[in-house]
Amino acid sequence: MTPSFVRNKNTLLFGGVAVWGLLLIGCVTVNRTIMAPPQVVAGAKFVGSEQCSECHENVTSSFHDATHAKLIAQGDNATNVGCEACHGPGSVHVKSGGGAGTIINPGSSPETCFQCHLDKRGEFNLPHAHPVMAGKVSCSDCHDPHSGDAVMGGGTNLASVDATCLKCHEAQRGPFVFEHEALRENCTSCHSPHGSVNAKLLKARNQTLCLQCHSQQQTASGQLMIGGRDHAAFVQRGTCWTAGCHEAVHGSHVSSSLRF
Amino acid sequence: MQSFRSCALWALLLSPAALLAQTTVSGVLSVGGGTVLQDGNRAAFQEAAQQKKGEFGGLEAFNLLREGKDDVLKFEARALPGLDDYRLFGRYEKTEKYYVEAGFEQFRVWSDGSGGYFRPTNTSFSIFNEDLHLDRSKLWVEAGVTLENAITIRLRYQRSTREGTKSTTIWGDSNAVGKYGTRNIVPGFYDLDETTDLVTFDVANESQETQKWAVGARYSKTDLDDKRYNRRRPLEPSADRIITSKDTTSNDLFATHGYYLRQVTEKLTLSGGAMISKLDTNISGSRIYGQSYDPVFDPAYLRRQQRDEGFYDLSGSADIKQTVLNLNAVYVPRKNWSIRPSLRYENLHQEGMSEFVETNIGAGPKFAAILEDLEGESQRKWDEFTEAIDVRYTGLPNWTFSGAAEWLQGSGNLEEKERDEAGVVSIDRDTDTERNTQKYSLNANWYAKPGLTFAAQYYYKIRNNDYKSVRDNTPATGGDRFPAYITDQDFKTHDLNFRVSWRPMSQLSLVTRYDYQQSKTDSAVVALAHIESGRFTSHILSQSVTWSPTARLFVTGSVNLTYDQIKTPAYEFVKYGDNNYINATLGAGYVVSQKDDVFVDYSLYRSSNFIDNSYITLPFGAEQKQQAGYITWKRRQSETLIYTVKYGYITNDDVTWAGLNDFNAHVIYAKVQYLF
Repeated sequence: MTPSFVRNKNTLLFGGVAVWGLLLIGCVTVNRTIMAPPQVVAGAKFVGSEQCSECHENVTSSFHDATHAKLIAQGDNATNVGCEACHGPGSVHVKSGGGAGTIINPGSSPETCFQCHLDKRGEFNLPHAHPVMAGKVSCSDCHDPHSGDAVMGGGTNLASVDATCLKCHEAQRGPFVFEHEALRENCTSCHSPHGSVNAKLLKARNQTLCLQCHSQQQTASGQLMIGGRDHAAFVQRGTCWTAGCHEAVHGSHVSSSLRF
Repeated sequence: MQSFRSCALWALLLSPAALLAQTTVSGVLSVGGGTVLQDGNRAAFQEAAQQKKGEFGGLEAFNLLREGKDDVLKFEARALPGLDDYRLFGRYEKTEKYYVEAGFEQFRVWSDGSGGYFRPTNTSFSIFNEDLHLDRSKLWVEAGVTLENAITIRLRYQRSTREGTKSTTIWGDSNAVGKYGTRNIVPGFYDLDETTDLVTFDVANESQETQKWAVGARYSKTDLDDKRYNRRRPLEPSADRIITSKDTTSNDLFATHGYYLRQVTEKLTLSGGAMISKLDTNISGSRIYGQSYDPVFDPAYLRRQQRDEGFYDLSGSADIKQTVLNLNAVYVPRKNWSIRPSLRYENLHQEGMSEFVETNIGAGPKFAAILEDLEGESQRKWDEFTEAIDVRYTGLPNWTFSGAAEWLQGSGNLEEKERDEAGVVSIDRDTDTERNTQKYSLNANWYAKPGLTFAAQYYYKIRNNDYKSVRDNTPATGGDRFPAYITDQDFKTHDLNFRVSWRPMSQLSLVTRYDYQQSKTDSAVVALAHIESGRFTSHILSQSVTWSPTARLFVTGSVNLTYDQIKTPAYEFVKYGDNNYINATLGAGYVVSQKDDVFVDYSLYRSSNFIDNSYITLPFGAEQKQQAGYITWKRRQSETLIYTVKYGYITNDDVTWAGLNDFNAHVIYAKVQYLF
């Protein structure tokens, strides 16, 4: 339902008054500056990462290992790339001795991250997303911007890549007597972690989610053989994980076919 | 003597003032409230906005920071009963000596419990309150001390809970779709109650650049009391029944870990880590049909149907023992080069055993219950080696280059069995698995001139999984043999992104980004050829603009255009998985007067993937348009007092659900902030 806009006498009267009001207000002299998000502190200037180290040595000492450290370059054009690239110019923060509200804290707003990760702004605005835009979860709950890999776990880290998800999704930890092999790859095999068009952050809402791994060569037309069984009639009903078919998508204790 | 007493008394009385003279206190007190006037689908609104319909408000923030010469005290509180959002936090820190902190926080996540919608017969079900919500809470106490030799000791206890209801995409079936037969569109929901208690203990010395170490242990205990309710063929007099699936599993996880880092020379730093963990799980649960929620199994429950399968009296255990070691080096052969090789080894033993009573219903007209005691069992052994190298170069002014490679070799074995109480084995499998992964990535950044940056990242990953069935008693043409059919499955991914950040003038900032990903899955099953079983392609084009033509005005906007598709060979049956969408935001801020600012924000989400293929399956493609517009007035009454008033309008049109999930909402909100 879209709101209708009717141009009647009252609307014109109200609109006219509003426009004149804005014009009058616009003539008022002010000396304040308004900042676009992320809200940089007005008047602050870049001071360099060395200044940050004086108080935040516990953070800066391991930064050389961080994924974001790969952005730091030599040269005159890259002088502002360091702590202040994300936290904003720090002169006011330094002058006030670390006063509250004098520096950007990306942990409380994702706007800083969106400056480079534009695609993630779109994903978090989808109908199904981790509630980052609602302020209930922050980027730093899953990513460490200051040390090691930004995507925590996996690779040659001690922790596995799934450990990040299992911090909050304990029921999916398992282990299950009968496993779903996809979990060994990781949760992102089936879920888009930032946001999705589909419920449950699923990469696809229909059977293609499963069929991208569970398809096989078909030897007769009109059939959909998966394993030793023709699923042509089953997929008409709904998703593979629908009630009674393969509900136990994360693993099962009772059924090797992950029925429930 | 009298004067000495007098001096002492004055000194005592004035000492707090002297202390206060050395401390600064700052903070904010923020109180706000508002209401949401909404019509249409309430549950859909609450899920979309993550906000409750109706009144909300309370204490938004009371943050206090007291900084002394050598100590810091923090206190934070939030209490918004209407939104069920609470936080209480306190921390006292004696600089470089010790700290104690404690806190509690809770927030609510809303979800919409709607099921599916079947367009040709205009069929959908509303059989319970679809306005679902889940509360997450965290309570913690932590203390740390720094000893004179710079060793830090930290102890923390945390209790996390997850309690409430949430939606599920596991839907029940209905025959109320006429000639189309059966479609699974009947909603279900979860009722969750999960608690995790966690204790962590860490000792570390990370104060020196040349040598660092840390050891720690964690113990956690998790108790689940989760239920999922599904209804099958509702409102059909002979077949309407409810399934209650329970998971009352609990687990204990104990893990120890440690690492040691040493700078061997100015050019070489070595580090190594180890982790040993043990997870013990007590399995418990059931899946029972009946005529109500939470029934006890009754072999003669009403409206039972053939193949109503379930289980009860599930008990057993599933355990994991895991050992992980890693070795890392940072070698800086020259000023602008950094080479970082690393190794990882993982050994994993997993065992699972379950006992349960399987329930089934025989053919009509008798529909007799069939009960069978069964046992499931599995054992998995896994060894995995990972080698990686990361090379960075910063020698070219205004450029950075880095590249990384990672190789993984894994091998293991999985045994699975299922038998009845007489010892008759229905499943007996022994599968050897090999997994090999290679990943190569390249990154470059070019700071072409002040305010102009080009960045590019690319990776290619290939993962080969080979399965060799050593033993398998399931019939070669039987449906229960899966997944033992699979012999080979390979994944290949190309992932690329390119970004340009440009500030052509001080008032204008532009960022353009393009993301591309293509993943391909090749699968082979016993006695059949390799096929491309899946192909995922995604293009995302993003643009943001921020313009501040005067000190009094900024305008900012962003747009994301996404093409996202999963193709499978089963197009004839289920079409493709299309997830294309456009997302756009537009915002502006204007200084109206010395005290007043006005902000406007608009956002649009639009997807158009709906294909009405109802005649062969369910039409799941999303077609939806969601818009939100806000206007905010902010008045700085004084240096310490700020008023905010906000009005928003949110609207949703959902074609997939033929308007059932549509809503319009007006959000009115005001806040008073006092800074001190």
